[in-house]
Amino acid sequence: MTPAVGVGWLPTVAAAARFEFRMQVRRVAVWAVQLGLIGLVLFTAGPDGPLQLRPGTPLPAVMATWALAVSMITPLGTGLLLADRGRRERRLGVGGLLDATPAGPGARWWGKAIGATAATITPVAFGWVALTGYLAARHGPVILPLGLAAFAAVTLPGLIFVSAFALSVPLLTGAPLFRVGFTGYWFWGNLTPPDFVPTLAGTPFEPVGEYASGGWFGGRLIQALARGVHPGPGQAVVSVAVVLAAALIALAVPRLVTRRSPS
Amino acid sequence: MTTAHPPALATAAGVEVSDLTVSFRGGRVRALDQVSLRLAGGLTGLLGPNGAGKTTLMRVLAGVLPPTSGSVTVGGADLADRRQRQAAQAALGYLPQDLGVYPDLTGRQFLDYLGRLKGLTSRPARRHRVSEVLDLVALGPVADRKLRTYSGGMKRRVGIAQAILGDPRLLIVDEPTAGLDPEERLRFRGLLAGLAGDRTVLLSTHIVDDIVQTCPRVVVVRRGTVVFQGATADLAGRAAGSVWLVRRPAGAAAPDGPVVAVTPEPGGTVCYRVISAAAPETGAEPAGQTVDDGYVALMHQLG
Repeated sequence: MTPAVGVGWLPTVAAAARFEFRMQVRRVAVWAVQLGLIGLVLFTAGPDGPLQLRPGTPLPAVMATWALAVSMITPLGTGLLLADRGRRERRLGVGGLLDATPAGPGARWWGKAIGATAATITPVAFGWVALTGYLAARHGPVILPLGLAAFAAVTLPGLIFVSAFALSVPLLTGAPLFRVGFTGYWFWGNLTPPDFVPTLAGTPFEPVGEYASGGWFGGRLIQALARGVHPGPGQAVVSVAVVLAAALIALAVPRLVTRRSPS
Repeated sequence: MTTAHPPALATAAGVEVSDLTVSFRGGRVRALDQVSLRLAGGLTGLLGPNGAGKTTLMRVLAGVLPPTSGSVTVGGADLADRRQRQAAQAALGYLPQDLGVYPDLTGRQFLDYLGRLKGLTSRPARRHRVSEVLDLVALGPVADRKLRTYSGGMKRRVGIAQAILGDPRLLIVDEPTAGLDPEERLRFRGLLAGLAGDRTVLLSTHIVDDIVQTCPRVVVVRRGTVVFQGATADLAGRAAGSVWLVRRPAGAAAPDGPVVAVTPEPGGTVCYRVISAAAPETGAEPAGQTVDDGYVALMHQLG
């Protein structure tokens, strides 16, 4: 059989994503950290759910509040676990080898972003599936589509946002400095009450998913409530769009500034 | 195995380098300075002292490093053009000097990934080819072990395997035998010689014997410029009439001039192989020139 030569953009993205996923998902730390953080959410939840959910809360709000609780803590692990991925080829000395292939660096970068992000989110998704199964046994199968929707709308955008910055920013700062700065940012920009210090928490720019939780599912509000904001569906759309657009820009910028150029 | 290549690269990929300059640090460091050379099919050796620009030249030819000025074509493909560069890279095998690997992949998975990036899109054909090159470098039995468990020599062989994976028309190998044991080195030398039949192979090494045994042609680089290109035998000719054997008692000072070899002899004497335009001292015995002598003589002539 004759192998065909020719590497398109999409096949390169797919190949890079597949191998990056494989390499990241095998890391014990990825599973230990992410499942440990989900365990922390469960451990701190009350009998009716996390974040002081009250008895009789409608099921969409229950699922969105669970999703918000997961979204408040698992992006922290995601950012810390992904911080060493962006510069990995340089560190391992594989860069020259890959650059000598016809597969373009841009396609490899996007493949890395997709594969490494998906792998780092996988344990969170597993934990979420288990939690949804438990809640479905308690409240009935109607929880299943709600669980899927809440994860996609509330938790996933924040995880993607954090992943994008965790891959790109360490290209400039290195992983250790990023980890310190990111941890500080996460607590300041999402979990610090706005009446305590000036913060992005409670604004549409917070990636924690509060606007989607409140605006689409009637879920619990925390920092937005402290600002006196009750986001509606339109504000939730804006918040999710802003978060995803920022992620896209964060991934695109390194490719633009590191394009092949004469020395 | 047969591999479909772009029409221009269906045979050995000739390399044309014209006035190639590569500068770093805003032009303050000139790694290559107005280099022009031509490589036809077959094996060509690349020699030069450390820091001469060999690795920079190879990185440019591999399309990894863009030139500051000048032009490079491989099999007619201009490396300055992205599409043509990618076409050239589809027919390129490159083994860098400092080879890195993904420690969490097995040897087979690593080659499978690189095969995919090199454009071997058919999974069965790629798997077959990966097994083939793993056997060729005698890594078949350990192919499913993680690369982190490989020794330095085994990683080097993985590097060699990936370089020949895509059935390249141009093979660029930078210090390929560093870290290999003598048997592996001889095997790789034979492998390279076999591959060179219908390919262009550029072999950079500090081991002159590797070049003598395998390369009919040689390019010598020094301080970023090409100071010799031609037949390997002609490089030896640079030392014609300038090689002398000088014997001195052990412990005595070495004779003046560049010494190519020092050999202890029975009876407490040491034989120095010296490059000198005239006999370095009374009793010096003229000797036939080798490529080592020619290389040292050339470097000495250039000052």
